[in-house]
Amino acid sequence: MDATILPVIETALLQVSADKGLATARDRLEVMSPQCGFGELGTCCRICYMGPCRIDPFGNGPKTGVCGLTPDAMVARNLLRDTVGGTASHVGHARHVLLTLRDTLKGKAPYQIKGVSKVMSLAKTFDVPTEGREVNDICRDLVNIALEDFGRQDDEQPNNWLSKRAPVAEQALWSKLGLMYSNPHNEIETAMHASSMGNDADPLSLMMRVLKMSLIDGWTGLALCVDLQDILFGVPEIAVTEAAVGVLEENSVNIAAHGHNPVLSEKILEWAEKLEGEALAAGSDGINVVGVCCTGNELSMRHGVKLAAHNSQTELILATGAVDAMVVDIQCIWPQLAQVAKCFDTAFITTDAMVRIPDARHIPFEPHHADESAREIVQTAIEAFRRRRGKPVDIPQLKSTAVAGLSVEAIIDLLSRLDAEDPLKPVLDQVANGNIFGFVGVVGCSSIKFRDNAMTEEMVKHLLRQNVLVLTTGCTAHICAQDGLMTSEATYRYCGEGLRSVLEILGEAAGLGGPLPPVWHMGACVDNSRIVDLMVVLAERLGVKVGQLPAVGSAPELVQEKAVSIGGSFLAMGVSCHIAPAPKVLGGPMVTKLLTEDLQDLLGAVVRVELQPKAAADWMVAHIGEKRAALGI
Amino acid sequence: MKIVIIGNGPAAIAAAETIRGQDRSCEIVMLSRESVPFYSPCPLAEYVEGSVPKDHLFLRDPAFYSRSGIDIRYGRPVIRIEPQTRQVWLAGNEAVAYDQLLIASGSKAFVPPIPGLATAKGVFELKTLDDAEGILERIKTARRAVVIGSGFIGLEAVQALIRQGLDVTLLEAQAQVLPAMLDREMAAIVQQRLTAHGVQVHTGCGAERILENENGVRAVMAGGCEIPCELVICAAGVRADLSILEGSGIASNRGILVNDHMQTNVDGVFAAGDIIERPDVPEKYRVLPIWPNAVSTGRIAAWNMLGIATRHPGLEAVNVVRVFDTPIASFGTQTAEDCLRWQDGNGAVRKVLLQEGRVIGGQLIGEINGTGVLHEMMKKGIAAERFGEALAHPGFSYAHFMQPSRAVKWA
Amino acid sequence: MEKTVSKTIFTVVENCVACKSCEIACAVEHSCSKTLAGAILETPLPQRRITVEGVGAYSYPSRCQHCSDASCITACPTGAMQRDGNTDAVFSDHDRCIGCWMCVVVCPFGGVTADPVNKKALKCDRCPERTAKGEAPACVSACPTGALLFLTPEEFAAQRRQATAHAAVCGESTTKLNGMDILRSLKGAN
Repeated sequence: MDATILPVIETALLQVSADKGLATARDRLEVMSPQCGFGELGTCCRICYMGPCRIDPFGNGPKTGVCGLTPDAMVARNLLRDTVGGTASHVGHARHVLLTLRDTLKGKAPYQIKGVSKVMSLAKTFDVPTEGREVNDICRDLVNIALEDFGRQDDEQPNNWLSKRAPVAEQALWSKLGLMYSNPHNEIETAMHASSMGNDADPLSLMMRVLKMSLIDGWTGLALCVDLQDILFGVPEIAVTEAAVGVLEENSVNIAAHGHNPVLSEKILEWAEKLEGEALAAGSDGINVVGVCCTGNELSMRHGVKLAAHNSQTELILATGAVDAMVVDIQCIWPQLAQVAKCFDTAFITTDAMVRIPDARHIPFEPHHADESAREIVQTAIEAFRRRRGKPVDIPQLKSTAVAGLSVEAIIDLLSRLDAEDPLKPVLDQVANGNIFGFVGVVGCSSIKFRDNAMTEEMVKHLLRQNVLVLTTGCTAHICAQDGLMTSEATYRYCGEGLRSVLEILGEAAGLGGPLPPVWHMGACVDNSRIVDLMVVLAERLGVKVGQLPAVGSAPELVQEKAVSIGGSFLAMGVSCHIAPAPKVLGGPMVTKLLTEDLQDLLGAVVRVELQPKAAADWMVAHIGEKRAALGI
Repeated sequence: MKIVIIGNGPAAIAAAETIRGQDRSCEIVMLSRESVPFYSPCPLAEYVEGSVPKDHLFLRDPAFYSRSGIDIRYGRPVIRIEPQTRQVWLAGNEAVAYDQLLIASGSKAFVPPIPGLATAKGVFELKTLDDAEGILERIKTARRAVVIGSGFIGLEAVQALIRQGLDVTLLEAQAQVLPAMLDREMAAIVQQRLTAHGVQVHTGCGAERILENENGVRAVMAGGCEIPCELVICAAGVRADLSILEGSGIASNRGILVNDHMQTNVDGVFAAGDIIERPDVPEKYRVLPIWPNAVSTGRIAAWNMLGIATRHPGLEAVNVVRVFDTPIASFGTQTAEDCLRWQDGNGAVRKVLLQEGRVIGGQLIGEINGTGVLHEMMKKGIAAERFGEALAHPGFSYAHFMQPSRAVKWA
Repeated sequence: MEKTVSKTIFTVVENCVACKSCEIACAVEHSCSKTLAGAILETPLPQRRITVEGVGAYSYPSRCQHCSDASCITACPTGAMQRDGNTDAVFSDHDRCIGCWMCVVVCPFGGVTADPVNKKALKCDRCPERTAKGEAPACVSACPTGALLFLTPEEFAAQRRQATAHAAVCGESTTKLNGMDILRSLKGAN
């Protein structure tokens, strides 16, 4: 058993809340515990009104639902709906960015095309002619290709982003398994339809739907979204930032941007700069925009904005009393935030019609009037600062330096300084000689259930010792950044000898004056497509399938439905996944076996549940070892 | 056999009922100082407050005694005991012979030597039904009251008087309220709650003199100030009533010294209830005048008087009081090397005190569920380290002890 | 009336999945309407007398043990806490209870709790109205996994013997691992 270590930052933050007498998610979880076993096993079905039905895992009570649904079908159906929730979130985000880009091109939304290089590379991918054309025209073609994906009713036509962006070898397998899709919206509808009462009751069929839905998440929800965000806001470049609550500044107007969609946060950042004068006039040292959750990751990737908190710390940083405004868009916004904000001068501002929270201030934000809304939001923060000014705040002085911005483009740019002709070769050589034993994509959320044993940090450290390079996104990226794992020191402190030597060479090439950090910040949770893209280019250079690479995915603190569908998209690529906690399928023995064993034959990937950091790392290293052996390295 | 029981409280009744349950033939004589059937003094404050009707105080109906073959003699205080002749002497020079004697005459309120306190009209204790009736009569005209002492009787009195609409001042000679139950920090929480309900609380402030006029008490001098009032309640603690022991040779200290059979040092003489002291146990378990101990020691005494040797497992060192509906529980000692703490952000605080990995005390305000589990751990000396912080959580239950025996599939 | 001491509530810990159906059923049984829909609209809200506690990877429905030498009865200074002459169940008479909480602080099982709203001691009364009709207590009826049983000690002992015999003959290992076993072993590693 691994020791219980509550991370220093969590300890300090919880103390701040305790001092103010504020209950936190830990307290609410305690009241909630023990949690219902039927729910944990996935054998509670609330889909129809003959129910709720529950299956007795011990075989003494009900063995099927009232309708006769088997436990395996029940857990698969529930898992499908989880996956739909995740995929719908990302696809919704993607479509919002797409429409913003469309309207920008029409001159209706005040944004610019900052990622010209991305326009050009995508034009190549989608066979859009570029010769002698304006960037906006090329871009318009790309928008139309994307819009077509959302409007097509002919399911025989494959989805553009899937068929053009995904590797060909994998597409052949997906085609064979019936996983190719056309219009994501139609598929979301079909999945909800198939999983409603009296439809698909075949666990295997339902599980294939889960994989298909995950594939939609991977190529429309993630890839399309990230591609278009890069067009609008620029392709991330390596940047140095800071992470943890200590980035709040007592005498600045602290604006915490929280959520997921840079369409909002980019404008907040822009207006924070424009209104700096007003902030100074209000007696502050200026405006300090800090990033929370994945909005934080987006801003740090593109602008080096400081990272204040991951998802499970959102209510805790409000308890400092130092946040003047927390402005949120979509996903992972805890309703509790409004209640904590009420105890202070903090303006808690919702902006999206889909995210309405009682006791929050709602300032509608939509791309057409982005400037007006962003100005109002920043001014609201300055007003809140005026009220707060002079009152005591309680900011734990803890923060770490972190290197961010490692997009695939930034990585290849870095590598090309070593070998301009064949930038990937140095990495592949190091993989082959074992200095890089393999790759783990550590993704997903931060969970109250796993903060007590520093699940992510400890697991990552175990991996680094065994020369595994860690690529991370989302809230696990925050955790790693806060723990100092995105620094040169971490390379010296935690890496095995082989990995350290590689990172030293890369750091030198990058002109960092030290080794590259061993944990690479690749963005928000939506940016998991960057990890996939990196694996795809490596696999293509090697002439193998992605699933053959010595790579594993891990969601060590899974919370959101999005993490379920992301995990599924990794599986579909043939990449095995470690997750914690256990997925809600254990009540279905066949589904459990499918995910943990039989999927190997189907896709070459399995799911592994380990709730302890060392056990999780050990399994991943062993699994990578098997992949290496299969490659003969 | 003739058994004489001095007293008519919970220890006396528990003993009498236990004896009668075993032995239909023996003679039982109960000598009661008061003139009413067995009643519970615990809800007297609620009776004064008006929330408990008088008939609910009486826990046995008047016919109980005759039905149970108990010769109850009301209004007969005992003057002295003569073990040599196996007799007790009552007022009026009347002797009652016994084969076995149980002294269960309880405790009396401690009245500090403050001028006027023992004599002034309008000064009451809150220990007996007569006290309660006196207070109820007095508050028909009284507007202001001073309560001396902030133990649990004092605090219950304060609450009752506030709810009767009086202005109440609470005087506590020590630096904090509930000094026998709580540490300074916890006491401060209680004091805040009292203040919030309009009580004037003066700690570190003892009463110095009772000032009177023709209607009785008119003010209390305390800390050099005059606190005008028409009613004083003296709740400065209770003491075992040992006056009847004089010349009997029955050993006593703070209470009558008994062993775990409730036997005194004198043959044929037992004691139970508030009056006893257990010299053979750690300090915190020696004198514990609370209801559960009265009942349990009364029962144990009864078994042993009947010749059925039975040991008492140990007194309950726990108490609980409510201050304006906030429950406050305390057990064991108030200081220790380690203290686990839990609080809910809404005013509830729980502290569990540990010494050498074992629970030795606890103080709980607002959220007292599970106090009995912790108290049991203290009594049994259960190793507590493995439970960690969970000990202080309200969810901690006896179920946690079952973990090691998990291999046993049935429980 | 004939004394009906026969059946009591037994707990099979391994079968508890912490669904808390017993908690809801208990509160509903102790409501005025005795229906879930009615109970949640009542003021004050009915309170449960059974609480599912988490114990490591396991959970346990904790409630009054109806002790033969019940410290809560000894401790009650108002005569509210009593033993039912027919069923031997320990119950509290709400009319007499003054909410002094002495029972709460002496119960070594945490089986008596303080009802903060009504200021009355709360504890399992073993559902006298149901058992009088020959029904099992509400918690037992609601338990979907057989973690709570309403049996005579003889019946329970017989079940126990059968289970032991079955395990001895067939061996425990032949029992197929169910989802709950997997979940517990995962959590047990924590």
